Amino acid sequence: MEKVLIFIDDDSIINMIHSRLASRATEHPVETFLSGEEAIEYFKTQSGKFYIIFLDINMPGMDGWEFIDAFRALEKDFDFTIHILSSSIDRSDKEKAASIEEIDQYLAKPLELPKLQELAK
Amino acid sequence: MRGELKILILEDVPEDVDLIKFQFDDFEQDLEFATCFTKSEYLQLLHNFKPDVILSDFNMPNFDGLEALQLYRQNERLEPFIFVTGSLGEENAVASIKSGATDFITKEKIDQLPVAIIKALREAETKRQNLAYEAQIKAINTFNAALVKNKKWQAALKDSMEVICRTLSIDRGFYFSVSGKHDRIADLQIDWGATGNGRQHRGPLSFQNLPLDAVPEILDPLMAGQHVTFVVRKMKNEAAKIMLRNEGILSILIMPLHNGEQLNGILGLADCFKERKWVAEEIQFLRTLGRDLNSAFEKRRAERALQASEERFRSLVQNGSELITILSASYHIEFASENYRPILNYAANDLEALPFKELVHPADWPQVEEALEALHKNNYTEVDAFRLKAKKGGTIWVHAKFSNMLLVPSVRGIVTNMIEVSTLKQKEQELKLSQTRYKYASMASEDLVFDWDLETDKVHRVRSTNSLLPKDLEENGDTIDAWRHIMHPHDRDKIFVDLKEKLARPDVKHIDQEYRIIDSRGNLQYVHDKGYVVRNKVGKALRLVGATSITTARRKAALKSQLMQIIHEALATDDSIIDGLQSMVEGIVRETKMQGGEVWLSDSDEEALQLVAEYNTHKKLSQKEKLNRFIKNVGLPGKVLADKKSVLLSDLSKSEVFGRKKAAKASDTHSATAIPIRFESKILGTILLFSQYKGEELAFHQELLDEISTQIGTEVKRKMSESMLEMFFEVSPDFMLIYNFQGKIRKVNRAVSEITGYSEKELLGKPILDFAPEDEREKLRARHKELIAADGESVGLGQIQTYIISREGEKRWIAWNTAVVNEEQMIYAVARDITERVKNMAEIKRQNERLREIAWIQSHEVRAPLARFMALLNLMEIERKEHSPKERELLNYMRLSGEELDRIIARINDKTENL
Repeated sequence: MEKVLIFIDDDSIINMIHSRLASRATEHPVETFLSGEEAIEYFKTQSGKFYIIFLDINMPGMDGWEFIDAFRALEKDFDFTIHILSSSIDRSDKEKAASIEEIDQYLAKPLELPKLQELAK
Repeated sequence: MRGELKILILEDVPEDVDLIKFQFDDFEQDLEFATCFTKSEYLQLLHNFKPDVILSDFNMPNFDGLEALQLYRQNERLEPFIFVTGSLGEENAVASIKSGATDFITKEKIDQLPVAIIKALREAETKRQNLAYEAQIKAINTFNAALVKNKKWQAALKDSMEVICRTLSIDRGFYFSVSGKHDRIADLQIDWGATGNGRQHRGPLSFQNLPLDAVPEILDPLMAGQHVTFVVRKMKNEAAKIMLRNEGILSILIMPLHNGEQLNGILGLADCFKERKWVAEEIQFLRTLGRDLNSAFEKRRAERALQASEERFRSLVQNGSELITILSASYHIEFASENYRPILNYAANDLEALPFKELVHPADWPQVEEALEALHKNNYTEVDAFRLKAKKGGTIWVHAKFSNMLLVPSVRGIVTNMIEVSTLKQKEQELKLSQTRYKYASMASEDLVFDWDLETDKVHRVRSTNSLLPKDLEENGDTIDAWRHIMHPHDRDKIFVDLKEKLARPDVKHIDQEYRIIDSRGNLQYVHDKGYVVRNKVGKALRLVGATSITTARRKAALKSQLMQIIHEALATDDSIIDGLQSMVEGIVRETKMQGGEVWLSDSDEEALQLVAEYNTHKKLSQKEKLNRFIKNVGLPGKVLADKKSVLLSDLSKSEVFGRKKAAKASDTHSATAIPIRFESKILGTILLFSQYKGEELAFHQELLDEISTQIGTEVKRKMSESMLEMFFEVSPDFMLIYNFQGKIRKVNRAVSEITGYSEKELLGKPILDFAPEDEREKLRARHKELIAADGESVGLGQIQTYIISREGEKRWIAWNTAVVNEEQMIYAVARDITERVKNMAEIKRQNERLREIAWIQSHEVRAPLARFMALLNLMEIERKEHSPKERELLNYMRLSGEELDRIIARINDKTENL
């Protein structure tokens, strides 16, 4: 099945870094979004692929948590994994992420190449 | 008077005969006339015609009326003889009346003849009855005389029968005696046949041994006391009919001799030539005779019974239980009845000439001798009980009656009748024993049994040996006044008024009263009378019977517990110790009915006492304004403090210890006692009591209070400690508050008022929640429930914090600690004003939050560019394949610096997270 790497982060520099890292780590296509809203709009049109989502928490407008609620509301039947990728090392954020079923793991920035290679397989 | 009336007319003139007959044309009765005017015709008609009335002319040619009258009366005829004549001379009239003429009718007044005849007939009937009656009376007298005089019963009966039969012209008379108890068989005893009428006795009568029950029509009326008459021809019982006919009897009357209970015999009176119709007079006559005959029977029976009784008496004397003895004037036995042998084993001749004294138990002789001596004055004396010695040892108790018959010629001795009363005596002994036992029981129980005669005012008491009655009551005798005298003066009048009232009420049966007396040792005693009122028919009280029991011990115990109760209640209130002691002394004085009392408390070093409370019913005794402090050993309180024991002054006027003699005299105070108030080895103070009575009464209360002085001490000590606590309560800076299970405030300290700004008055009695802010009430209400439900384990519930809004509108935070006292249903709360602390806490929290915010900013906002920097560094390392060693070294340092900064951020984050 075709896999797609999705990066959602309001920091465009980070998005640029993640795109370039991804191009080195994998052949899968990469999509970056600067907000949760944009990402939701994108997912509305998607189907039939495996989406590996890297999600920042702290974003203006829709934050990471709100994105997950909206994503869940789409009721899409495609396969996906969500990895929180945040600069926050706050315990409360980690605990919250652990309590949400859709989230696979919590990753503190920066994202290392070997880690990305492992997740993008 | 119905039936044909036969009239004989003696008249020679046919016209006059017609004239007479003409008068009877309208006569109510059928008439038959016969007429004649010669002597021969007249005599013939008298015999054959049997006239009922004779009407006669006075002068007839060959016969005269007077002679006719005389001829008629010669036959003892009673029928009317009336002269009907033209005129009657005075001489003739007299002669005719002498001869027995009934009436005269002149021919001018011939129309009166029928009335005269009716009248004459009536008179004749009466006369005939009278004559018959006279004859019967005569017969009865004869009959009775025969019965009474003739000792030979059979002969007397026969004579009587003859009188009866002749009087009534009876042909045969029978008398049957009824034999056996069953009234079944009647034995013929007498069969009298009138010999004059030519009948001879036919030999044994066929109704000898007549079975009466075979002829119920005879037997039944006889058994009921009724006579029966039969005409044999008409009898229904064939057997009886044949039997009587064989005897030649045509009619018979059978009369019972019945005494109302029993049939004694039967009289039979028979006619053999005619069928008799019995008339009432004859029956009456027979009844009278029957009654007389019956009494004769009864008399005879009584005589027989007497005879039997005499025989019995004789055998009684010889064999009965009564010992009969005749003593000489010197009390020697002259005669002894036979029964001495069976009763005492003496033969009669053993006893002859023996002094009676030797037969009597020596211990009893004096009373026997006294009774015998008394016979000189009285002819008759008795001895209730004494003992006679039996021959072979042992005694019997006898009751004796002595009769002086020394002067009676046929006796010439003292007749002694003795009846054995051993059983009776035994009973008496038992009774005596039970009385003695009762007396002892009464002694043992110390109950005084009394019987007060209300009429004489005498009281009978069964006294116990250890009687508590004073000596003077014994000496002055038992009157109710003597009893009254020993009663406590305080109770005396009330008890007697009550008693009088109850005795006056007919419905009151029981008296139950308790009061005090001064006993023989001068001690106060409580007694309880329980009595029964004996009343006469109209309800007037005659006697009061009952028992007095000493209830002192019980009363003492009751009074003791009452006093303890009073003392406890007085000191258990929230009042100050002074107020508590004041109500305590009031209570003690009232309960003990003393004149007054005081409480003195010692200093802590027990060197002096201070008057703290007094209650005197007489104000002159009051001490408060005068001397109210005593040092040890001075005055009555000082003496108690020195001696460490209670003191009794039974006469204040003579006391060296007591100083207030004037006051005592003025208030009529007689005695005083002081009881120490003890706590452990300390004397906390003393209680003084005053009495207007003698010291004895006070002694009772002294003893009583002495016994509880330690308990009083404990109560007083507790109150004193409480007072100290009270002080702490008041001065504590902590907020102290007591409220009940209903949440009402009962007690607050000064701090509460200070903190809340509400006065004690505003707080007391109000619900505690009224002072809590609205938003805290629910929490506090839940807490209150928890406290009560905790059932004494409230300490575990810990502290609770809340705030209140003070009167000034200031918000005050308080922290509560509470203790629940279930017995009192009270909650004790100690609260601390934590407003300042709460304020500080809020500041810290606010600062912490700020710190947390900073940490978060660091975590998110500081670290975000760091993470970006680190990522860029990574990317640089990845994308630039060839770095100079210097470049690589610099990149490495950049990485190390970034990582160091990241560690610092992580450490700050860790610390703030734990705030």
